[in-house]
Amino acid sequence: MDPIILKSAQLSERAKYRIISLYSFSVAFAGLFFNPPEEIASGLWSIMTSPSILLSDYFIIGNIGASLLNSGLLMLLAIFVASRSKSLMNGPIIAAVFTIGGFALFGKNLYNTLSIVLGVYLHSRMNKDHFGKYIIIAYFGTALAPLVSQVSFGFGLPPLIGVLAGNLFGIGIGLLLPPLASSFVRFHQGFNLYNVGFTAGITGMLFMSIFRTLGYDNKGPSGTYQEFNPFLLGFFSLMFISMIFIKYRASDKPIGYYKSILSHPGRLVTDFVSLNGFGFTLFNMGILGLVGIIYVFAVGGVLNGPVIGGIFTLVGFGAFGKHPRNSIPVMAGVFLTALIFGDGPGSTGAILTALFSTALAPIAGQYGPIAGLVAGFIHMSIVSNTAYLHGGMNLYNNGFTAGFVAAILVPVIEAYRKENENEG
Amino acid sequence: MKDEKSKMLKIMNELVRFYLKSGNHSVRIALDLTDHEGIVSLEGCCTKIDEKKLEDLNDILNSPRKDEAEEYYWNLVGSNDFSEIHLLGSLVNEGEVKYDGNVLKMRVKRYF
Repeated sequence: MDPIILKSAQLSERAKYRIISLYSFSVAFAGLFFNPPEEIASGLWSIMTSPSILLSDYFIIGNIGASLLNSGLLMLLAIFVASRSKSLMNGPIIAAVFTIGGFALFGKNLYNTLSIVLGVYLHSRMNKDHFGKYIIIAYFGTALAPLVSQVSFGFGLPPLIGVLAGNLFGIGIGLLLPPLASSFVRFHQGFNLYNVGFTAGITGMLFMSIFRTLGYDNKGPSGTYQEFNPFLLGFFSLMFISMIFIKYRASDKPIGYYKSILSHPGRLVTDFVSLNGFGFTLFNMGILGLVGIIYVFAVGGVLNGPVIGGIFTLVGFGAFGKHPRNSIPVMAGVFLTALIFGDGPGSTGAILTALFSTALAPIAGQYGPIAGLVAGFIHMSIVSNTAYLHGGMNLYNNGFTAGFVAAILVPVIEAYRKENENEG
Repeated sequence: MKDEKSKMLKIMNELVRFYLKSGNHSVRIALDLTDHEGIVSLEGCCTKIDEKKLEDLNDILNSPRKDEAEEYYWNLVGSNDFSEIHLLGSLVNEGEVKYDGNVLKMRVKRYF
C-alpha cells in the first residue's frame, strides 16, 4: 500500500480554487493580446458554429485569441460549476478542468459542451443524487461535444432543426454516459486514465453507425496551425514554471519529497492532491508541462491548438496519476514507433499520439519502463484505426484506443508475472 | 438506495482482499444494512502485519468522502487483484482498525 499522506489541508480549499482559477483566467486574458476584440468575437462565432470533429484546430477555424479565450472561459465555467456543486479541488477536478481547457483549443466550446453537462445533471436529478457525484463524468463526457456541433452545423440540416437536434443529442449523451462510464472502467481495470475517452468512443461509435445508416457522414479533419509562435511558447513555459515555483509557497517539504509522487504507479484512482498535497501536485504538473513542451520542440513540432491541448491534458493529469517516471516510457514507445515504422515523430498526429498515449502511464508505473515502451508501441499501432469507428465524434480518441491497449496488455502481463507482486 | 447494496458488497470484497493480501486466510465477516447506512465488520487472525500500514489504513478509512469520484470509479473497488484501498476510503464515512493479540478487527461505515 502507498504511504498515505493527507497533507493537502496545508492550503485551504478556497486557496486551491483561487490558484486554479488564476491559471484559467490567465489563459482567457492572454487571448486578448493575440487578436483585436472584433477578430476575437468573429473567431468565437466561427468556433461555436463549426462542426468541431476531430481534428479541428481552433487556431485555424477561429484564431489564437478566440481559441485561448474559449479555453479560459470554459475552464472558469467548469471551476464555477465545481464550486457550486461543492466539489473539492482535488486531482480529478484539476485533471478535468485542464483537459476541458486543452480540448477547448480543438473541439470543445461554449456551445457544444453545455447540453452534455445538462444531460448528466438531469441524470443526477432523476436518481435523486446531487450533481457533484457525477461532475467528473459530466466534464470528461464533453469529449462527445463534436457530436452536438456536427448534428447542429455539419449535416446540412435547417439551422433551427439542427440546433434543436444537436442539443437533444447532447442531452441524450449526458443521460447515457454515467452508467456506461462506471461500467466500462472495469474493462481496463483502471489502467487507462482517460476512462471516459473509452466510454465516449463506444458511444460515439454507436451514434456514428446510426448516422451512417441514415446516410449522414462526416467530412475529414481541418488543417492545423503550423507556424512557430514565440509568444505561445513564452506564455505556456512561464505558466508551467510558475507551477513549479508555487510549490515553495504551498508546501514546506523538501524537494526530495517529490520521490513520493514518482513512486505511485498512477492507476485510477491516484489523487496526488489528497496523497501528496497541493504544492507538490502543482510542482508535478509544471514539470510535466515542461516535459511536453520540450518533447514537441525536440521532435520538430510547433504549438498549435491540438498540441497545446495535449500538453494541457498531460499537465492536468499531473494531479491525477501521471508523473515523468510513468509517462516518459510510454511517450518513448510512441516516439520510437513513429521514428522506425511511421512518418517520423514530428508530425502533429505523431506528437498528439505521444502526448495522449500517457493515458497508459499506469502500465509503466505498475510494470516498469519496458512495459511502458510496449504499451506505447501498441498504442501507436492501434490509434490510427480507431478514429473511423466514431467518425471523429469522440475527441478522446487516444483514450478510446488506450482502453483497448490496457485491456489487452494487463491480463497478459498479469498471467506471466509472479503471484503477489501487486501492492497490498 | 440505488446501487448501495452493490457498493457495500464491493467495499466488503476490498476489505477481504486486504486481509488475504496480509497473509490471513480466515476472516469472519458481518454485513449490516439499514435504510440509512451500511456497516461491514471483519475479524481475522494476522500473525505478521506492518503497524504503519494499519495506521495508514485507519487514516484512509477516516478521510473525507469524495463524492466526485464515487459514481465514476466505484466499480473498481473490490473487483480485481489491485489494491483500491484509497478509493475505498473515498466511499466510506468512517472506519476503525484494531490489532490486538494477532487479531485484526476492522469496521467501516457508509451513510447512504
